[in-house]
Amino acid sequence: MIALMLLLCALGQPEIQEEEHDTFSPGFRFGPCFIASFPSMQDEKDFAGMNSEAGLELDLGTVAWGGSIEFLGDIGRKVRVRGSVGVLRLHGAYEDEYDPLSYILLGICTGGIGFLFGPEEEVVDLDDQALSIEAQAYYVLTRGSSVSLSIGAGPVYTSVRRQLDSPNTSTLGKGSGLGLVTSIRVDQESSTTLGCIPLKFALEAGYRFNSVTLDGEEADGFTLDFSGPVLKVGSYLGF
Amino acid sequence: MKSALLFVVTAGILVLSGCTDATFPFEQVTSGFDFSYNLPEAGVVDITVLNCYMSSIRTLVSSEQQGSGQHSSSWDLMDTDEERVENGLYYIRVKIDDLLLETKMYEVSS
Repeated sequence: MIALMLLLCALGQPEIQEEEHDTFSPGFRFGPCFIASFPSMQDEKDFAGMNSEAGLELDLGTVAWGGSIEFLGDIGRKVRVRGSVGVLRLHGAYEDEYDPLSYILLGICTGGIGFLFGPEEEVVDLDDQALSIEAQAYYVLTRGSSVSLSIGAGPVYTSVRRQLDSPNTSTLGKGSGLGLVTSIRVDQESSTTLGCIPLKFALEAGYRFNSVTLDGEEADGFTLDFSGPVLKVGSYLGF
Repeated sequence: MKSALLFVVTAGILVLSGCTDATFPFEQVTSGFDFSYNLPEAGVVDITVLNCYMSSIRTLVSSEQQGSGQHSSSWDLMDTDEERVENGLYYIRVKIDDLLLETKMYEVSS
């Protein structure tokens, strides 16, 4: 991802140098973003460790995946703002394997359909979700007719939920809190036409400071720490 | 066609219901229960119950000197406020001389 950003920057550099002073016009763009994050989640790691002590190997993911809808606007030659609503999800599970004979029998009896579902079923399912509203301001370092490079920071408000399911129970924890996002992003300034749709792509890499403590006495300070490096790829409709 | 579909669905449900051997690495409980633990040596024992947020909700044994060998204790599914705990996953931690000896996992349901 970083290499891709550097490549985009390098490709856009000659035009940036030549056209730095005459390409700005106010505008905005919006569209979906794909997000990959590497959250700290120390409490969840400790929880997975406790399960291991008890003989249950909880397979906790290391990457939180998600998406967002973003709005990006240029309010000056050097200033760009962004607002977004997005979701991140980290999953963990303990899976029990079907008895092999039963699994084969299931596949045969269902005309092969049973084989589509894999030989495991989730016994314990851990689902951490963060719904975030971000507002970020960027300083545009360079802007050309092809790409622009900017750095920015801004607050993030996050509402989290933690759901832990076992065969007969389900436990739900919720919380919300404020955090901070800092990032560097490369935006395509010229449009790429996809069919008849003019799209502008963007890459963003940053760091998110976003630890949220769950509400309730029983949670006792348990935090879902979505802090960590974040990578985004977005495609926007530009105006 | 309908009978074939009915056969497939019925067979699938029947086989699925018998697929897992239900040997989960935790015990499923609905009421108070006894459990045992084995001390390799004599020492000061602490036994606490933790919820799925790793928060201690009940102390079953507090700084009690016990000899080596097999011991047993019980949990009535109550927390420190003498209220029945919510359904969920719970963990019983046995410590000897402040060192973790073992963790047991239970699914508490109604």
